[in-house]
Amino acid sequence: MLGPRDRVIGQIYIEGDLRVGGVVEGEVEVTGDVEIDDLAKVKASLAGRDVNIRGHVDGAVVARKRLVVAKSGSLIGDVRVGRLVIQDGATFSGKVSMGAAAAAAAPAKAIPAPAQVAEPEPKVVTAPEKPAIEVMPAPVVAASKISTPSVIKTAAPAPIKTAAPAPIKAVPVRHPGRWAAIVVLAVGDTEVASWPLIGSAQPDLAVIDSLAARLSWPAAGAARSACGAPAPSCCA
Amino acid sequence: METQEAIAESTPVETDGQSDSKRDGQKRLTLGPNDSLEGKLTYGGSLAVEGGGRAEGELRLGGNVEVGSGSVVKALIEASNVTIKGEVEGRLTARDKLTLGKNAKLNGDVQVRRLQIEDGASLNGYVRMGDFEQQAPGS
Repeated sequence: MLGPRDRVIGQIYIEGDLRVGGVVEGEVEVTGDVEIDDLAKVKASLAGRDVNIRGHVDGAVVARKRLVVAKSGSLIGDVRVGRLVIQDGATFSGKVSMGAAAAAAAPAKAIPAPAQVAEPEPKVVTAPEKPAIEVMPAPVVAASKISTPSVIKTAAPAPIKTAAPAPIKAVPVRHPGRWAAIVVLAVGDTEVASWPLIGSAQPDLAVIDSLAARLSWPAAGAARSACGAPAPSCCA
Repeated sequence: METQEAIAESTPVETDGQSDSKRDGQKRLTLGPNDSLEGKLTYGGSLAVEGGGRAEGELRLGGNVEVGSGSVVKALIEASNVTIKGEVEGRLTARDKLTLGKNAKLNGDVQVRRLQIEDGASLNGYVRMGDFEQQAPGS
């Protein structure tokens, strides 16, 4: 239940039902039923079994079973539903795809639960927030990541404490059978770049230097000296 | 719920085929089970397609359109109130309200001012809602 004063911006995945009374922006996926109360303002895609809208919704809706737009409700967005009820007085604009086929064709895009890494080594304290796939071989081109910095969501302690202004966090990850490391380049809590280094004990600091130069950080040199922790994958 | 009343009031089935009757001072055309209409109809009154009647083409009405259960209409429809309990295929404009009954099937894009869909109805197409200034047919 999100009350009238509650506000969520981002991605929500709930196993169970959800009732929204406040403001939601982003993406909502619920395995059970979704209820949008009269005063709620939702600017998000909604997916659920039964979806009941009495407030304002702006976004696509997938109702595996039934979508109801009550007379106080307003919905602007395309819908895929099993069944649809629109009460007189409701506002609705969008494309309607209906029937069992429409519901089945709806992408069942579950938001992946954070992957848990098996048995972290005692000295390598990590809880990587990324699903393991992202750490697997394909090398991430650091430059492409710069354009889309993402917030690091986990509260996992960075294994290497860098000195205050230093922007580099190296996150070593143990995979069964082999060593891999992700180097995360971050400013404050914002990740600017990360790339996996599989089977490699040391990140390539030349890459960091070039990135730092491109972002015109003064800290390239400082960073190098800043992380002196005994991790297998940090700086030389 | 006012729709339901309106429907009940107009349900008496006129099986005597195509008839043009005065009703509450409103012109009304009824297509019964053995009737079919093909082509373009521009009419100031209302049209009811009932009990298995069929219509195909273009229907522009000053009044309302009712498609009873078992009836099939494949047409561009423009009317004030549109009530569907049968099957309709085609672009539809309701200057006032569109009602889909529980066994209604509608395939086509829809522009309406008000919309009511009962549980069990089937709809596939784009829905646009809002006030719009469109002249009545024939004007």
